[in-house]
Amino acid sequence: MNVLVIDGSRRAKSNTGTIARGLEARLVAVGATVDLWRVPNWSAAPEDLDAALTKLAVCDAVVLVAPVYLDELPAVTQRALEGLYARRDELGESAPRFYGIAHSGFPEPLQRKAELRTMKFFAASMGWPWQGGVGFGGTSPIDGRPLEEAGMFSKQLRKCLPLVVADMAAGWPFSAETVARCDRSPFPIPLKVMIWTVNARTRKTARAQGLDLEARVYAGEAPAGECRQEVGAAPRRSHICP
Amino acid sequence: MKALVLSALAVDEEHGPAALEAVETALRERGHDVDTVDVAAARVAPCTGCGSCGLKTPGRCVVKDDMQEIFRQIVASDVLVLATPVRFGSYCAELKKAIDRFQPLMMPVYVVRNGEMHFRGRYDLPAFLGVGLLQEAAGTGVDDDRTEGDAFRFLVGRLAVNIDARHAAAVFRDGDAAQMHTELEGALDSLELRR
Repeated sequence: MNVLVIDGSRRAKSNTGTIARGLEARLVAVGATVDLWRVPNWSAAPEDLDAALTKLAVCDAVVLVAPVYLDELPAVTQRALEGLYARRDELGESAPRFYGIAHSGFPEPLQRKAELRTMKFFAASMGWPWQGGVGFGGTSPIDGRPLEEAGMFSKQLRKCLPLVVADMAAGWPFSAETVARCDRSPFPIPLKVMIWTVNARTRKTARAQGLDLEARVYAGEAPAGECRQEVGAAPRRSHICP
Repeated sequence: MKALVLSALAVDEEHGPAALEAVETALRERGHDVDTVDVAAARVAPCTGCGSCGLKTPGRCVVKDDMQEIFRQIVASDVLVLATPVRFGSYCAELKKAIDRFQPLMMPVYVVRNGEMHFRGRYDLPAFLGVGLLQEAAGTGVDDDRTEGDAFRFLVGRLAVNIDARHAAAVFRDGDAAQMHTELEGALDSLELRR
């Protein structure tokens, strides 16, 4: 089985990269041939998708791993998908099975629903069979460390990635059990207790550093010296900084 | 009453201009001063997820580009419109690039909202209207435009929960003027904007 794992984050030391590499290792362990491809920068040229297109033309399965930014794919990941869609004719008859993995710092599956649905629409647009999506919550504390080094914070992922790999290796869509187990909250304490604990730590740090957490720096006019410029030549562009 | 339109509709050269004109006209007819920012043309860098706006420079984005002024315009407006061609049921990348930068509008502490964990709001943000332009070219063959439109409406509602703002959504189909007018009127009515 040839698999392309797409790392949908451009962040240095990203949890997306951690999950993508953890998935890659587990797929290789069951005999798959895996290529890992990271979405390009925003400023990338169209040819920066060439490597992905080459792999997509021959792979059996694709899995997109992406973080959740305000319930959706990050802009760079969305841009990469739009770029692949624009060049879909170059893929000929290739129709790899498409899987999605979304992860977020927030525990609730509802916060990942829109992103997984976007992946589903993308697969349909490409003419690829959608094999389902799974989500993981509470990933922020992993902080880009390898899964094996993140202790209790990566326990959920270490338990569930083998289920993900088993479904993929069998050529199946993600099973209801796989989806449900991935979706479980990784937090061992009630949400309100966890929020109180995290907030208390944040406020303590802010006090120690003399920071005003409630600062409203964008209320009112820009202070002197900060740019506020109209660009007359392009009427749709307003308030452009030099 | 001030309305700020963050628009990526220019990405759709065929139907985008008419869609944007419909939005601006509807807002003006309700007595708003309308300021439109073409986010595809503006200087807006992607969010790097650096977290500085949380605990290094609370509430301030360290990226010095047009978002600095756009933040001020958002906070000062009575209505925020986010207008985009719909791509795979979502915002197009050009608009999402600006939305990804909204984090300084929130505080780095958490609350339970809608039964979920979210960031606490930093400002009393304006009512928010999401406008999505469905495209024939992006038809899926599996999911018809109604369901892609439903996905977009759902997404608009989710953003509203994230930023703690009242919201409505309008979904346009291929520059159909009458349909756009009906959608906009319904959405603006639901935001209770005065005529």
